[in-house]
Amino acid sequence: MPNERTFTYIGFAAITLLLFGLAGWYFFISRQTANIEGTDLARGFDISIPSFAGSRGSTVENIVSGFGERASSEKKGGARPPRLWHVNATPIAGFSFVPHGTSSLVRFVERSTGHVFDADPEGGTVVRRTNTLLPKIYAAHVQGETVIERFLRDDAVTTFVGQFGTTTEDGLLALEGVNLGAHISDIAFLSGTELTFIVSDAAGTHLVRTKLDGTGAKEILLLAAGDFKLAPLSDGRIVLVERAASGILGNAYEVSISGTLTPLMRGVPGLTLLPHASSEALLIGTDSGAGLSLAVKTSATGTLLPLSSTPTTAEKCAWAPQARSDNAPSTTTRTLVAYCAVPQSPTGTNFLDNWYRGTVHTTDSWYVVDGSAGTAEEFFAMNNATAIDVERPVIDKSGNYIAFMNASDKSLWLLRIAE
Amino acid sequence: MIARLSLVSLTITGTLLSLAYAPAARAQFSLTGLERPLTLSMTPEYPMSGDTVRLTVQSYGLDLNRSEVVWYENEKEIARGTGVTTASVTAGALGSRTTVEVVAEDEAGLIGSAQATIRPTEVDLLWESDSYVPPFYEGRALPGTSAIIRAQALARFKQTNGTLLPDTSIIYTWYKGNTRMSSGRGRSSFSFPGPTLFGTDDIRVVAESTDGTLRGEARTRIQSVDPSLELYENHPLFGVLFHRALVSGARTTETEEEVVAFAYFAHVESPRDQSLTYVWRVNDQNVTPDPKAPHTLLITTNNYTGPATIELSLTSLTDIFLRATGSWQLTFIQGNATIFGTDPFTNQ
Repeated sequence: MPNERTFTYIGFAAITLLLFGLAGWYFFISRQTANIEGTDLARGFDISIPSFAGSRGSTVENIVSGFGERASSEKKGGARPPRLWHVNATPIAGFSFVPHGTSSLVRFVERSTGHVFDADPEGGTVVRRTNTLLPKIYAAHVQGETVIERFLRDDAVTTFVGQFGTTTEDGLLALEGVNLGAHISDIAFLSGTELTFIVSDAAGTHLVRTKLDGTGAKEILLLAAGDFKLAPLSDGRIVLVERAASGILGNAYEVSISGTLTPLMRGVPGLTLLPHASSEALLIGTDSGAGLSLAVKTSATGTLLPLSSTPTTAEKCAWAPQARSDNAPSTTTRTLVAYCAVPQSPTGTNFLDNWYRGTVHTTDSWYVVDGSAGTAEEFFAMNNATAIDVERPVIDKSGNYIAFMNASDKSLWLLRIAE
Repeated sequence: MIARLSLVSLTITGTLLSLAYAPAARAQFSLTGLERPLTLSMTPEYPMSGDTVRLTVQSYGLDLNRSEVVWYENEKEIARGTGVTTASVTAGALGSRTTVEVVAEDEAGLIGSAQATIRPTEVDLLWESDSYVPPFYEGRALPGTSAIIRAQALARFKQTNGTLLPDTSIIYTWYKGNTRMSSGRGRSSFSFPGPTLFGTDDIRVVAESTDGTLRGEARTRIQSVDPSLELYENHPLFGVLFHRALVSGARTTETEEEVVAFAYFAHVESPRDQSLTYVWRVNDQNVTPDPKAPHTLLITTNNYTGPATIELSLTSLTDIFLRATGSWQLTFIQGNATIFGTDPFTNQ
């Protein structure tokens, strides 16, 4: 039966081919799995996070050992943290104080996940609050239970505004919100219910206010040109400051709801500005290109008082609340108090340009500024094992704490003002 | 860069008057035929609100050093004496009008007077360039090669009734150097090519109310900068670490690093711009970049420890002036074996 024999041969051949195919497929899959595991391993999913270390200050020694522990491994706390507390060693995107009973919590956004955490300055606990994963958050703003998270999508900066949901899952809340889209160059909370942001397009620079959910958008101002960022203020005022560059003249304006610009400072080289939330006082930083200087102005018509002992940028300063004026080391009564981080070694030329690029970092100490007197004195030397380059300092409403980020690794720190 | 100058509306008249103060006169007239002209100048020429303005009187017809000179500010005497040829006043607030008058009489009885009206205005000149800066960069985008500048003049012309003159009632004239570029009523913004490479442009805008009573000016100097490259680590968890640029002498314990290059102030919309050509070299060997992300470089060590010199050259097909180069040394201080990829250092 040739036909039967032929079918037998064909059957054996088919089975053999099938077995070879399956074996080949098995080895192929195994190899791919090994590659994927290797890739994951190399990308830091299972080993220490890579870091650079160099001599120009951008890679300070503290990063040599990696970014440190992630905040998601929550800290139990229980004991009062040290006066200078390294709240979160891994990079964060932003933070703020939120009221908590008679005290405050530091609410921050983890950079890698977009998760929101609360840190208790007195108890030392760090508790995760949300479970909505938004990877690689580069910048964040926090106000109460509303969070603005900014990230890159297709190389464009995208802005998400989320609020804590009402239902919990394993004790964690979802972030529910809206995506405000791309092209927002800066954004800030305007009040408890509104946002303001800057959008640039072919028509120019638009200043827009909107509700937290993105509805009710209203253009406040349109300029054909103007490279601005928003100076954060908690009293509902809107202040625009031209983006700074070393030696380049800059202006700052207060914007009325009707869009009228009132100049706050005009033609200042390398201008950085910190307006006071409940007065006309200003801290004015300058970068001439050759060095930094800081001055204070207590009123719109007041004179500029130079603070020669604190050569720093206004972006390293925070105003203390008016009610709290007795925290300063001196017994002198102060009415306008600010705390400024001051670089302890010469910052070199074109500091702002280099600082913004991340090519230089500083090691700072804290100074307290008496705005009324135009004086400053050293307040707290951060003699830490790690160099701390302060950025975005914020003081809580009670005036007890300064929270800030370390610009060299984006970690979160908290300083108790009165020991 | 933004600069502003405050300008005043200035009216100077030379008149013949009696030495006793007379109300400001705008037209020259004669009482006795013995009048001599006076010239009144001031510094700064265009004072801002609150500025101390120094006024100086000169005359070819009177010997002021031997003349009795009297100065008035808003009809109030502020200085008097023989040979007092200068006086200072403080410019008022925006919207104010300060009249300064000087009257002089020499030993022979020849007299003369002059008057100036100071009306402070403010003009700011804002500008921005379309040069590229990386996302989340906090600083100003400075004009690199082939940049386009967009400028905006902000004039605050306060009228005596306290309101600001609207843009539509102001004529703006734009100058680059001494060349008039544009002019028109309400033309408060203007776009123009930025300075050539290594060049500097002096930009000036003159603003004038349509009735000519208020004038202001702002100037700025815009300098071209050479586009420059920075390298950043692209971390799998944290994204691009813009806060710490890769600097020469950097070290890493990683076995694989992805670095991303950004050309500050280049005339591109994105680092992926098709017109850009990235030439990467690692330890003197060319490395072909990923065509979808030519500004990134993935380095796999394959047991290599030691320094790796990364070189990058960036040029553009559409911008012949763009040529940015950079060199960085990255040291791998611990070598962990990897199982994939080629070794860019030994070409294996």
